[in-house]
Order: sequence, then structure tokens, then C-alpha cells
Amino acid sequence: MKKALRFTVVIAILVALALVVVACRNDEPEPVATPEPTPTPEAQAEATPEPTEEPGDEPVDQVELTFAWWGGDFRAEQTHYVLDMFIEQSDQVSYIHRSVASFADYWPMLAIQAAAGTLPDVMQQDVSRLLEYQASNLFTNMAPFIADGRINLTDIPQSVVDAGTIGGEVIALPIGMNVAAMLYNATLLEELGLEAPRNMTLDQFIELAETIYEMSGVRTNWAHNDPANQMEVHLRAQGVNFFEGNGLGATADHFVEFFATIARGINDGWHIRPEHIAGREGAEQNSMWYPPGDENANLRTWNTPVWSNMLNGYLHDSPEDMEIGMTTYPSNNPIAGNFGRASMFLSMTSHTNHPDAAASLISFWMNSLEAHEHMLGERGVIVNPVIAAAVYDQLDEGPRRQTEFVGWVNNGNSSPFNPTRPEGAAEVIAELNDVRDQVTHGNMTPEAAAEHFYQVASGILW
Amino acid sequence: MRAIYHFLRRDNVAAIIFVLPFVIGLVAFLLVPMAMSFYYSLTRFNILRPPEFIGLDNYRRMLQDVRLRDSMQATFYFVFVSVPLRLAFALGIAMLLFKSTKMMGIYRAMYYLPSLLGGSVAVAILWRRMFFVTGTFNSILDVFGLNRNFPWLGDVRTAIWTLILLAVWQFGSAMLIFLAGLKQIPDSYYEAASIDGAGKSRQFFRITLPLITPTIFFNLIMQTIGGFLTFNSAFIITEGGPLGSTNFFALYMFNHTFAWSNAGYAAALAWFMLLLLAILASILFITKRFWVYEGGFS
Repeated sequence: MKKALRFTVVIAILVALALVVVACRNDEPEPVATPEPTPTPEAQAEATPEPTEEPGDEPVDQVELTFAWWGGDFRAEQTHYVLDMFIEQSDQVSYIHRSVASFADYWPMLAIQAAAGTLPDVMQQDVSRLLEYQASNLFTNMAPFIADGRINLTDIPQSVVDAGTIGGEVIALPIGMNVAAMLYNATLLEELGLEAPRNMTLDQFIELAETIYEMSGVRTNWAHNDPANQMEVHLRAQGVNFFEGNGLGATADHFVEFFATIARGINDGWHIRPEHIAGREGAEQNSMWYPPGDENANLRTWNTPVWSNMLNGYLHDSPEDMEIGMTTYPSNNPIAGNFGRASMFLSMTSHTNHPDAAASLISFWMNSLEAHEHMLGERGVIVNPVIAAAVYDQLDEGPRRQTEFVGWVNNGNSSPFNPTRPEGAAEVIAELNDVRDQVTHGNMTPEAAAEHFYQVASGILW
Repeated sequence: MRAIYHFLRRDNVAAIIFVLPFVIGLVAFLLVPMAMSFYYSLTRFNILRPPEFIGLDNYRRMLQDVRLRDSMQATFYFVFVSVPLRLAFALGIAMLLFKSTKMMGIYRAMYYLPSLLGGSVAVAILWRRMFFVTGTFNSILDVFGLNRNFPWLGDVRTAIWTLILLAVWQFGSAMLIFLAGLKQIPDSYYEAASIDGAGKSRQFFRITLPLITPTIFFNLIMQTIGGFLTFNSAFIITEGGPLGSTNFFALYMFNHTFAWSNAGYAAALAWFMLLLLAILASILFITKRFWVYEGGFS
């Protein structure tokens, strides 16, 4: 009896082990979609052509795609809608698996997928990562797809395609145009009888910040959110770029004024204190409207330096009685400092098993009037002029103002921009955040901060 | 078939089959990844493309890394403050719950609950909200007229204390182990002590404390190692700030791996941490014979 039991247990363990080994052995490419999770029964049913189909019809093999993007809830709603719309009209794609994360969490998520060889078929890309991903062979060159029309770019200006072309390979296609923009509480400024004109110089801006602080106690956000962007504008106004080739485009002297402005704002009180920015969560606790109440005025700011395409989200999230204004970042030479750029891109990764289906999705995104009628410029000003013109009348306040603002910046109020960033740029920007904190906490003088930042950043970009 | 049956019936064959699942797990999920991580620590590796061998450069870089130095400082501070506090708290609660009444089961479960929840993302987010300038904590102070809108999470002096508080609050697992330790001490010791006229505090310091030193030692080792690997709370509540005052080692390593594409350097950091933990654990083991009671209870 005992022996029989032991025999059974041993056999059971062997069987279990055999199962594990078999389960692990799926590294050979399967005919259908390896990167995706196992298709659901319905999807499989859909994927198999119905036997009742007319004999004349060619059976189309339907596939499942994966798509990843970053962004908040507002964008997610729209993206889901558009992807569903695509599936409905596509004869190639039966389902799209989706992953979404905040910008900060997106890159770790994608890095893991890249290492595992399971990047999504199509992913949203950012200029700051293009070089890194390209050097790692993670893109599929879309030039052949464009050449034979699988990605239809007939209506798209060449300059748009060039924005995602590196070394002769089309690795990313922009899906929105964007400019750096400072959003502000227009209601507050109106109450105070003040204005935030476009192309403010740094001196005008500081004077405005001081006046607002004196009159209302509300402070200014100049150094938080995206200091790299602020720095970029600031350096361009001095005639240099933040990054150049594989290194820095500026020297320690160029960085001083940026830190000096922060130090001045903190000392004079008009800049928000760093400890009052910490611990905030998302749109709900944005410093422009949170915490409410007159007694909390000095915990709030009248402005936030962001991107023009974020206007939609701000209009969506801000309190109803607050008007949101939009102006350029201040700098000593606004026209040299301002820049327009392609904001978000779509890329086909090299891990895709369904390049044709992926191409059809990208082509849909670039050309579908219905899709853009739903998104209405949520990812920035629409790059397809035909669609942009067709949907203009339907645009809400946000996208309409963006279109106007981006057009204004790009027509004579900005200068050309080299957006690609070297590998290691992400760490340099983290260091910029650290040094910024040292200055806002009064631990470093602007000169020391500039020198320190220059040294550390040069060390990172070896 | 009969041959197979006989083969499988041999004692050592059965033994090998029974240990196989563990051995496979050990090799596949521990030894191989460790070997890989050691190799990565000698390379420049950004996860996206194959690593490039650079010898000991990553280890040399560590010597000059100012942020690593600050991160170590923050981590040590956190561990050396939170672990003793947590153990003291756990022991205190264990003493309170060490009575056999009907409600004790419920109390024990309730006090253990924070440990189940404590590491979770949801509690971390809750914590962030509680200690925000206009959060619950300041609202409570407000009731006592103490509210000055103090930014607990934003101030260099207090941010780490919010994390320490969260760590201390998760005393449950240490408490359960203490409870088990307390149960081992025979009642007769206490009876004898009270007959001899020893008061409660004297009993605690002369009987309880010496006899649970093995439990304290075990908890100390486990909690110290756990403390050095703290990640969630710093990642979510303070994001390493302000001024790097909560930039714990695990968070710094994570950022190098995933945010800054330096997985090679991060692997070197991990090996450094392993070495450090090994040294600390050995020191604790060396001191063991000076303070840990290892006799029996007879």
C-alpha cells in the first residue's frame, strides 16, 4: 500500500515536471502572434474564417495587434475609442491588446518588454528615446511601407515625415505638433488687472511674477514640472542647444542664469516653495487650483510650464470658474528660444510579427477623418493638413486655441530645433532635477549649481 | 515497464525526484540570474541591446558616485531608526496581546492587518495623501490648533520620518514571531519570580527579555535585510525626495536600471548591496554570543 502510494506520487511529480518542460518550450515562432497573450476563445473564433463564407471571398487571416501609449485617463478614453473604431473597419485585425502608463512608468515598462523581445507592434514614441531605440535595432523602418502605400502619407507634408527620419530610416511618424507653452490662470490675472503677453522676456516675466505675488499671495512655478524644457528654451535664447551630438551643447556659464532665476524667485518669495510642490498627485492636485481657498494662496501657482497639447487636459480638469490662458515660456530672446516640434510619434517596433497589420493601423491613424473627429487634436495639432482643415469647425475651445497658438509660434516666432537627445539624457535630466532642488532649498548658489551640473552631466554623457 | 517500476522504487531515485523541483527552482530562479547579474555588472548594458564588456568600470564609478553616497546615508538612517523602533513596538504589542482571553485572536489579527496592507501601493498612496500639506494629518493638528500647513513630505527633516512611521506601523510579522517566542517561556519562571517578590518590570527585564533574545536576534536579522531593500514607500510616497533624503538604495538601483538605462551599473550596485548585507549579517552573528541566550527551557 505504502509503496504504491509512493510510486503514484513519484509518477505525479514526473508528469508535473514534464508539463513544466513542455510549457516552457514555446520559443519557436508560432504561426500566430507570439508576443500577445493567448487569444481569447471569441478572438480565435473570429480569426478562423467561417465555413459559410461565399466561395468567391478570399479568406483573410485576422491577427491581433498590441499597442502601447502613455498618458492620462482623458487620452485613454479617446485612444480606446479610436482603436475600437479601427478594429471595426479593419479586415486584418481582430483585436488590439493595449497597455498604457504614465510617461514616467511607460519607459521602464517598455524597457522590460524590449529585453524580453515582446515590444508592442505599434508604440507611441518620444523624441528623447528615438536614438536609443534605433541604436538597439528596436524599430522597423517604415520607408518601404510608405513607398508602396501600405502607409498612406499622400496628404502629409515631407517636413512631418522628416521629424521621425534618422539616418535615412523612417522610424517614427509624428501624430501631433506641439510647442512649449506656459498655461496660466487667466481668471486670476484678469481680476488683478494683469496680462501675460506672448514672447515675454525674462525681466517682464519676473516683474509679473512679483506683482502677482504681492497682490494675491499666489506664487509662480518656473522650475518644476519639466525643468529640462525650461532649460532648453533658456539655452536656445543664448544661442546654444542643451544637447549636441553625444554630449552637452552648453557650458557651465550658460546654465547660471536658469539657476539664478530660481534662486531669486525663492529668495523674493514669488516662486513656489519646493516642499509645497512635493507629494502632489496628478491633475486633481495641480498647483494652479489645489489647494483651494484664499488662506492657501501661497501653496498655489498662477502658472505651469508645460506643452501646448496639455491645454485640453487642463481645460478638462480645472475648476469651472477658471479660465486657462496660454503663452510662451519667458526668455531673453523669445524668438530664438521658442521652438515647435513633433510631439508624439507612432513607431512600428522590430518585434512585430504583423508588419502589414501594424502599418494599416498607423496609416489609419494618419488618415482617418473619423478617428480625428473623435480625438480632435488631443495629442497635439493634427499633422495631416487635409484632416486638420476638415475637423477645424468641430474643434473644441482647447484644440482650436492650440492650433492657433502652434501656428503662431511656428510662423516667425520660433527657430528650428534639433530634438533628438543622446543616450544618457534621461539621467542628465534627473540630475538637473536634483540640482534644481539644491538651489530651491538654498543649498547651492546658482554659480555652484551650474558648475556642478555641468561636471556631473558631462560625466554621464561619456 | 517493470524495469521502470523497479528503477523508480529505488530510494535514491525517489529522493532525487523529490528534490528536483526545488533544485530546478534554485538554479533557474536564483543561481542563473545571479550569475547573469554578475556578468552584467561588468558591462555597459541599457537593457535594450546586448551588453558590452567594460571590466570593472562600474565598480570604479561607484567610488566617485556622490548620489550613491547620499543614497547610502539615507538608507542607513532609515534602517537604523526604523528597525529598532519597529522591533520595540512589535515586542510591546506582543506583550499586550500575550494573554489568553477570548478576544485575543481578533486583536492579533487586527494588529497583523497593517503588515498585510503595509507594503501595498494603495497604502503608500494613502500615506502620501495623509501627509500632504492639506492632508489628514495636518487637519487633525488643526483640531488642536497646531496646524501651520507643515509640508511633511516636502521638508528634508520630516520626509524620511513619514516613511519610518509607515515601516514601524508594519510591525505585524515581527509581532507574531515575538508571540511565538513568548509562549515558549515556561510559566513556572514567572511564578517563581513573583514568589521571590520580583515586580512586573523586573520580571520583564530579568526573565522575558533574556529568554527571547533568540527571537529578537532572528527578527533583527530579517528586518534589517528587509529594511535595506525598502522600495515601495520611497518610490510612491516621496519619489526619493526631497533633496534625495529618501532616495533609498533599492530606488536608486531601480532608477539606474529602468529610468536611466544603466542596468550594468545597477547590477554592480546590487552586488555591492549583497556584500554589504553579508558583512552586516556577519557582524550581527559575531555579536550573537555576547547577548543571545541559547540554552533551553528546563
